[in-house]
Amino acid sequence: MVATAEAQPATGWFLRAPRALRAYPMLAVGLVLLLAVALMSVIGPLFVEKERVNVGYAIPDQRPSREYLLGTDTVGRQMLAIIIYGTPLTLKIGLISGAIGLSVGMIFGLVSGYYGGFWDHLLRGAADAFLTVPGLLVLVVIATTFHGGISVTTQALVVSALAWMYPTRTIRSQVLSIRERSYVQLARFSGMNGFEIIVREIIPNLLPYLAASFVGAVSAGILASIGLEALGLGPQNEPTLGMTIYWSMYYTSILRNLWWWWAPPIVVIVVIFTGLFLISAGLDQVANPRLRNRT
Amino acid sequence: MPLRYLLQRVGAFFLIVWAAATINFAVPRLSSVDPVREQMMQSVAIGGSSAQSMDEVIKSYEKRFGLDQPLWKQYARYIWDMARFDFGVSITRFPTRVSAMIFDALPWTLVLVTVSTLIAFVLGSLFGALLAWPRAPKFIHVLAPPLLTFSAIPYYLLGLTLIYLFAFTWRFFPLGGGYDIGSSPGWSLDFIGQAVRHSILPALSIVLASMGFWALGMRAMMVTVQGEDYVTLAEAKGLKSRRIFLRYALRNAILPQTTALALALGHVASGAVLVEVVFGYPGVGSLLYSSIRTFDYTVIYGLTFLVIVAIGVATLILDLLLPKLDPRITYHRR
Amino acid sequence: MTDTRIDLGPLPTATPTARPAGDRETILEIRDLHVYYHTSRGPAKAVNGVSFSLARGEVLGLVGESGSGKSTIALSLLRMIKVPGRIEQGEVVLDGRDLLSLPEEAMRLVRLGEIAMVAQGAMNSLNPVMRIRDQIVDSWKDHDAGMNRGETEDRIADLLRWVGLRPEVARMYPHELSGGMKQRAVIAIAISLRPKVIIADEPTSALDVVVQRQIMATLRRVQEDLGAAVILIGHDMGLMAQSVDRLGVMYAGELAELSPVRDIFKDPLHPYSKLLIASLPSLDHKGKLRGIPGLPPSLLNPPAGCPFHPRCPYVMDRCRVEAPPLEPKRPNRLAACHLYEEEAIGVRR
Repeated sequence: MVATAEAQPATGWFLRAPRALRAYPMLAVGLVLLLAVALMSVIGPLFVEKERVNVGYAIPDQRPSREYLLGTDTVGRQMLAIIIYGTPLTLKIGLISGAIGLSVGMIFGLVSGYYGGFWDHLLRGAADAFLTVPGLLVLVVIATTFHGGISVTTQALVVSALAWMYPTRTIRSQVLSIRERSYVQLARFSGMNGFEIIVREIIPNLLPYLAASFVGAVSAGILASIGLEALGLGPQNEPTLGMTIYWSMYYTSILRNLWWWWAPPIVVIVVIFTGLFLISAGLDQVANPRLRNRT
Repeated sequence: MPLRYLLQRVGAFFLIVWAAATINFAVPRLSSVDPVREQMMQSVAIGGSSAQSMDEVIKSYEKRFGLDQPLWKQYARYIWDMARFDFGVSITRFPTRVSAMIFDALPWTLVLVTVSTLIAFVLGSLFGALLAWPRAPKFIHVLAPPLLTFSAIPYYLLGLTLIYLFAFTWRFFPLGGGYDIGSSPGWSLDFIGQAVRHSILPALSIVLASMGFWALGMRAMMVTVQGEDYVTLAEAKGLKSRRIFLRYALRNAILPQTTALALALGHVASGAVLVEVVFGYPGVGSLLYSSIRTFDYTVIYGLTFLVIVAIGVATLILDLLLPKLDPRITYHRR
Repeated sequence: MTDTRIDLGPLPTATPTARPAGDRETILEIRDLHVYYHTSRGPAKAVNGVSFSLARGEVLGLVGESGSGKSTIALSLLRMIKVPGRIEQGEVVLDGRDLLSLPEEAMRLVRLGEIAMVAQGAMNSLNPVMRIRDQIVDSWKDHDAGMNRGETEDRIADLLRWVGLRPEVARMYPHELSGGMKQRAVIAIAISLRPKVIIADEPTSALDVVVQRQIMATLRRVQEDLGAAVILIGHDMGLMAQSVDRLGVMYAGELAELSPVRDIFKDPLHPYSKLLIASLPSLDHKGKLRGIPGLPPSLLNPPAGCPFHPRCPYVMDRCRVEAPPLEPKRPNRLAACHLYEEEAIGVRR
């Protein structure tokens, strides 16, 4: 296994990357899965026109055939188009809530872990409290207040409101342990101020945890948004994956054996979550050497 | 158990409940229109329910929560109502009281969720622990990939798939609902039998989908514990492998795992809600779904509050249970 | 190089006189032990050909820097080396039986029953969720030391008293005990089945000096009463001087020297031993603290010839090429060094 990689001169990370990935197979597979989904969202529109997503475009209730690769639903939308145009919306929501969750989590976690005291009690208490609340229900309360007219971006923001707790907790506990290490103590004694220490000493050591928290927040965001949408509280006119499932249940697709309506979104969702999950497991291995597979 | 710890925990519980109630109060009032009032007006306009008594309800609603009342007074009344579980009346299913609707649905959900979660936790943790134990039987590792894949799927989507396969294509199980169509709820053996049969698929969705999560967490905990000195000494003492596994490794790894359970309850509740929707199971989840579709705000708010309370109670129970498991944490808060 | 002498003071009167090892029968013999840790960059030779014997009732010390292989030897004797480590070759003969070829179940019974370990850092060696008495009793159960309820309680109380603990300790949890008490409890567990060999791996490193002395006294007393042999592993030369009969100095996975303890301190043979002793601060005269220049060698790629040669003040050309074997250079004194080749010829055992 080592032989082929050693033979090449290690010129730059590009050549070294495949070897690094081979050391973390789960991470690699996860990335591949997500890349595949992203690729589909990017390349798909080149082959399938956007209008096929619209109501009444095609003959309704068609089984998958050569003309309609994934069939059509009860209101005449082509499933393939829905998958191609709807998936990036879901990914977008995930990314937004991941970014917000990570940023807020980072700020809260760093402040709470490094400065401790009052801030620690406040922020940590808030995070713990929010964690015990059933996220979906709170989101339902917020979303219903909008009385249905919600855009994809708005939904992403709503979902982000509950994406910051785990990152805060994780980052805080890591900061606590890093803070006590000798090189940080040394920095403090040599007069670096808090902010500098955080940026130069602590954050570089947090990178695997930041990455893991980001992935976690993205996961949670997508999960929450699909949940909301499946209840009918998502953007009504967009073909997001969750809304598709909602409509399929609304039109009793199961009893009518229209499996091509609800199965493709589920498959895509499974691929996305499996990919995210493998990435986070892989990142866990990067951070904690004991979890790695031993040769 | 020392009083201080108990008081701390109970205090935290009340704090959360109060915070939930307050958020419930604040959110609808953030937008310029009061959605509850709007909805009530709408249902009067549609004329579906008895318009006259609805009028009275609106009047009494306005008296309490109307814009002429000072905010703090509204708030005080609201908190008082919440404390008595008085959530008002349902807008769409007027004049049914919200609390009646919720308490009808609650037992179904409680049983389903509690049983499924416990089974998933116990089986999942055991599975995860075995995965991390070098001397476990080999077939365990074969089971791992499918279970872990399941855990990546949201509960209800797994539920959809299960319905399609086991209820529609192969008629092993009923298609949904809590009991056979046409039966009326009661305590008869026949009814209970139906209830059980209808619960199997929903329970299975929850168990299969959450087992993987517990397994993973436990596996990670076991890996950490196995590196501890006391496990090394246990082996140096010549103890049998099973004893080391159960009493030294598992027994210690289960502690943070239980804490994780307490934290995951919110997530479990959310998932369960959607599972009920998919299966048409007559619990709290379906109630929520129907009230969302008709914008029956009073039900939505009452439900959210109650679920938060329920989770608070469950967390409190777990918190109080934890010192029994770990003799180290009797006296100080971690 | 001037030799600094250590004034040892009177040795504790635990063993009346340190009899030379040859007088007592051998209980444990280690022959050419090799233990390697297989990393992605090749095998790290943690133990690279170590042989020595241990006599019944003898106290043998193993001293060396971190990474010299001492703890690895301890684990090997109990056959507890885990992947990626492996015992590559060698024999470990306890009372005539080669432990390395025993089936796993038989080896399990040897652990604690015949060879017991007193672990380092009693900090975390005790299971936090079990009472002390349960941690003593469970090994009895798994070793089929059949006893009825009454006998068990008595036996536990006796055991605790023997190591200097009050009987009430039995019902306590580890976190309720002090560091010294925990260490005593660990000793109690170790001796409970009357083992033939006790391996004490840095038993006092986490304790303060006062408690250290108490613990070592307890250990010594217990060892005498049992007639068990002890392998004491550590890096504190001072402690070794006070506690052991013979001292083995380890370097880079090999034994550099193995001699009766007084001999090593009075007249160290191997240059590494000399430097180690010279680095000990003296109470007699002031001077600069002296360390040993250079760094310990990589275990992945040990130097050719003698592993110490890059740092040795007496290095000769021969040392760079040929590894010196561990041989008797004086009566009852083994050393692995080319300096004494000529003298060895004149020695007959």
